[in-house]
Amino acid sequence: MRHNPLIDLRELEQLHDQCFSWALTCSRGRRNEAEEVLQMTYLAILEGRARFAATSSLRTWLFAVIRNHARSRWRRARHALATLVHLASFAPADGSGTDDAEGQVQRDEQSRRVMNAWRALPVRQREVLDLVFYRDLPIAEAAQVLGIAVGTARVHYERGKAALRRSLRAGRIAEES
Amino acid sequence: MSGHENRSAQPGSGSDELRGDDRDLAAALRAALASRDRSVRSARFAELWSQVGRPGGGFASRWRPAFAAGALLVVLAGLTWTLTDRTGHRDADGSTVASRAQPANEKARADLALARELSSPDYWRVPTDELLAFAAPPLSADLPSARGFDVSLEESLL
Repeated sequence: MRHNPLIDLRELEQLHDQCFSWALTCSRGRRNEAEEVLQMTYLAILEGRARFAATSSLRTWLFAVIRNHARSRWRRARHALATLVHLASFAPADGSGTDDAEGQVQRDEQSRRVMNAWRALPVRQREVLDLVFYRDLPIAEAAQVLGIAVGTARVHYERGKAALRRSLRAGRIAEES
Repeated sequence: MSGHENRSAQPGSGSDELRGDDRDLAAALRAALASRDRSVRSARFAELWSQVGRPGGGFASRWRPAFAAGALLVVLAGLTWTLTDRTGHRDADGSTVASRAQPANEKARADLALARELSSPDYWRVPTDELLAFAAPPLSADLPSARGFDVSLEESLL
């Protein structure tokens, strides 16, 4: 295996939890998938297939690699298979299995409402809001992670915010009535 | 756990770009995602890293032999199909009758030989012309003259 000289293992270790959290977002909250994505990312780093050129921060670069792995064709095919298996097993559709991390959030009512609204957003909007709101990345860096232009990221950000706000407001009105 | 918890606000970070009315929204989403992250702990870094560092470790590496075996099977199946198909075409042309049958045992081989013999046009040709053209050679033996040939009834019976 080749060595990736620009990556400090200690720094990688410090970023591990953030990376896992981002992998969780990219895997729609499925823990096993998130761990596999992270494993594939580490393997790519270890084998030198993913090369850090230090043109961005290590964190931004790692997030981009994780997202690419999560969105690769193979992952999507596997996800489709998992969905078929899930449907075939006649399990409840709310994802209350032990593997669905986002399902466990439902203990907290407020968090549940926000998570449901967030999950209903299109993927790009969800990702950009996660990166900017939760991981505190500037929009330019979020665009870098997602591999899109800054202007496009800004559009997704604004639309995501508006949709999230609309959805939360509608949910509140429905509860009050 | 989250990056947000680990970092203080830095210049140029996402929180600097938030307008006043966005802060509440950001805080709500942040709390929800942090709650999700608290409920799901990842495997430790050392654990994952050592798994991928081991020869044969890592998800991709673990499945690599299976993929290789599958690919080999597909290639072999394709090769077999191609060869079989080619033989079939030759059969249809009728150019390689011998190579078609390839009898597995003696009986099949004998049947094939008989079939080949019976299907030959020579086998069924009646040599009428040759028979008509046949002329017996003159008899050269000395036969007794019919005039002096006197045989008694008793002699003829013997």
